[in-house]
Amino acid sequence: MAFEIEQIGFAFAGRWAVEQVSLTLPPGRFYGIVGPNGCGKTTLVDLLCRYRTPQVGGIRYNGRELEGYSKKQLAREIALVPQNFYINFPFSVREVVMMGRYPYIPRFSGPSPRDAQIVAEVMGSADIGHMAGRLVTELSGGERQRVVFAQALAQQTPVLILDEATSNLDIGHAIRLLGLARRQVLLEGRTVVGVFQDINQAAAWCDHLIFMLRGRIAAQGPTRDVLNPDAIRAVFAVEARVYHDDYANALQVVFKK
Amino acid sequence: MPVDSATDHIRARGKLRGMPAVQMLFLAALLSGLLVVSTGMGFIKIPAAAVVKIILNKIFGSPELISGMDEILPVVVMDVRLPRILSAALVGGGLAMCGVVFQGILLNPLADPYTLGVSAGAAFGAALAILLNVSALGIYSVPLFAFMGAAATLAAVIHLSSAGGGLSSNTLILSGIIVAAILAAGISFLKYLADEQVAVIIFWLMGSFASKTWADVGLAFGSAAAGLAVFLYFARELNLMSLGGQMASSLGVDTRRVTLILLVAASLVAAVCVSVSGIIGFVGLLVPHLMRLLSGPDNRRLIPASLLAGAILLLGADTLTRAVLPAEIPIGVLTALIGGPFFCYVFRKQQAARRIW
Repeated sequence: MAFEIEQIGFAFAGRWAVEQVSLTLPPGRFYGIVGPNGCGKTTLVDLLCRYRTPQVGGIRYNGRELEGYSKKQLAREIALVPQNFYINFPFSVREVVMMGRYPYIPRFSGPSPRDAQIVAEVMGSADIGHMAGRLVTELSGGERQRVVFAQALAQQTPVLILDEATSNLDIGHAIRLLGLARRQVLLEGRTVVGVFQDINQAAAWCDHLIFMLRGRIAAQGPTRDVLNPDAIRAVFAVEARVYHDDYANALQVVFKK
Repeated sequence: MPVDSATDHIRARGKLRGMPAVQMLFLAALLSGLLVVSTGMGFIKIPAAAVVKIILNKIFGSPELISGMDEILPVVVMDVRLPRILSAALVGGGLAMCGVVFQGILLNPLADPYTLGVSAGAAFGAALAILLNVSALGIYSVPLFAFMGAAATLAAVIHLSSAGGGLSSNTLILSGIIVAAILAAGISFLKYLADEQVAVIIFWLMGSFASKTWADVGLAFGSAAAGLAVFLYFARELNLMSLGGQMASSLGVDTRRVTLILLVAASLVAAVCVSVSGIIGFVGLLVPHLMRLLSGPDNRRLIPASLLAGAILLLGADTLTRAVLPAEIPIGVLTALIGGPFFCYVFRKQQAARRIW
């Protein structure tokens, strides 16, 4: 099991952001977390990558308590693409992507030829190779997001966590990067956990959907089983129709205005 | 600025960035040259060659180097000028590298070594020592009180900002501002009480390197060297922390621990600097900015480059006030008078370049 989450809870100032959440996530799948604003999606993701620690319950990763891993070990297991990303200092794009190799490069050593090669490859994948020398402070929001995406890929971890990682991307780059993540799930057995605002994007890429509402799990299971009008009504309070779209080759949702 | 010159500027910057060793050598050579020239300047002019001979004699103990020289010269160099000159260089370097660290931790290019109230705490401690006429430790009473004030302020700021498990840059900056504001009122009150002593307090606060001793040099050197070692050890982590706490954490940095170690180390170095020289502004803000343009934001290069450049800048300013200007201006006033407008210029130029890009 990649993650075994048992009855975790996390509260901000006395209000539960995540409450009584239990989940078992086997490896080699693409998981999508969906739900209304403020339902605890990002907090759950923060708990998975140990940026926050659950106040009750526990998370096991590969059979071991998440708490038992050192930060460095964990950085070789789990990579994160965050929702927002600002940087105040004028690092070049290549320098920022190279930071993804930090868990592998010993202190006081420079990057090895292999590190340089990996960085060049992921910059190609994220379509930022042509801006390697530009400064991140001078990029647009979408370009910056591709840079952090490349950085997370450079970490070469078995688990990739995407917290609305394509929210600022144009549709071409979004499809390209999510497709890349999808291929890594299928071909390399990677585990991807993504938070999505766009339920159709989640439906198109994810094997498994987790619906959250007010910090709890409202429904979860294989996409074809749980993505239905009842679940969408229960979580988002909108009327919807779900159908299999042959062109997208995926379940898609249309909403009533 | 036309587009072409802006891109040329950025390209040139990129080229310079690729040669960190050349930059360091250049800065080190500049500093060495300035040390010698500055030592020769003053009421008694001493040729550079004589200065070098006197120093070499002191280091290697070969008296033939200074035979035939006026006997007063070695005394002027070793006992009067060098302590002051080395203190100025070490304090400048210390403040500049602390500025880099504070800006990195607080994710704020406008932070400086005094952002967390270190200077206000030191000023309060010094004012208290002067007012109460503490003299238990002779001439070191005021610096010691200044250091204790700075350390206590740091403890208070960290305590205040860690209540929510935080130590985030916003809570730290806010806590620093609150504590500094309280201390500023306290300093005003002490000045009000001080009556005739008020001139002494004000003079101390403006900063000076006059009549520094080898003990001051030793203290400044020890703290700068220890600080440099800690900062270089964590320079990589500091780079990652500029991506924000969440990203640094997911890349494997123990952000809370690194933040705490760097904050305490940088604040203590700044506190020693303030104790030695009084409050000298703008070096810790300006030098990291300038050096970031030259050597880029990578802290592994930026920290040593700022150390050297800070030393050059403050030694230059102190030499100006000591040996060039007709009357000595307090060094803290001089750095702010020169540094302030210059910072405005750099700041505007940076913004203009960014807009075009």
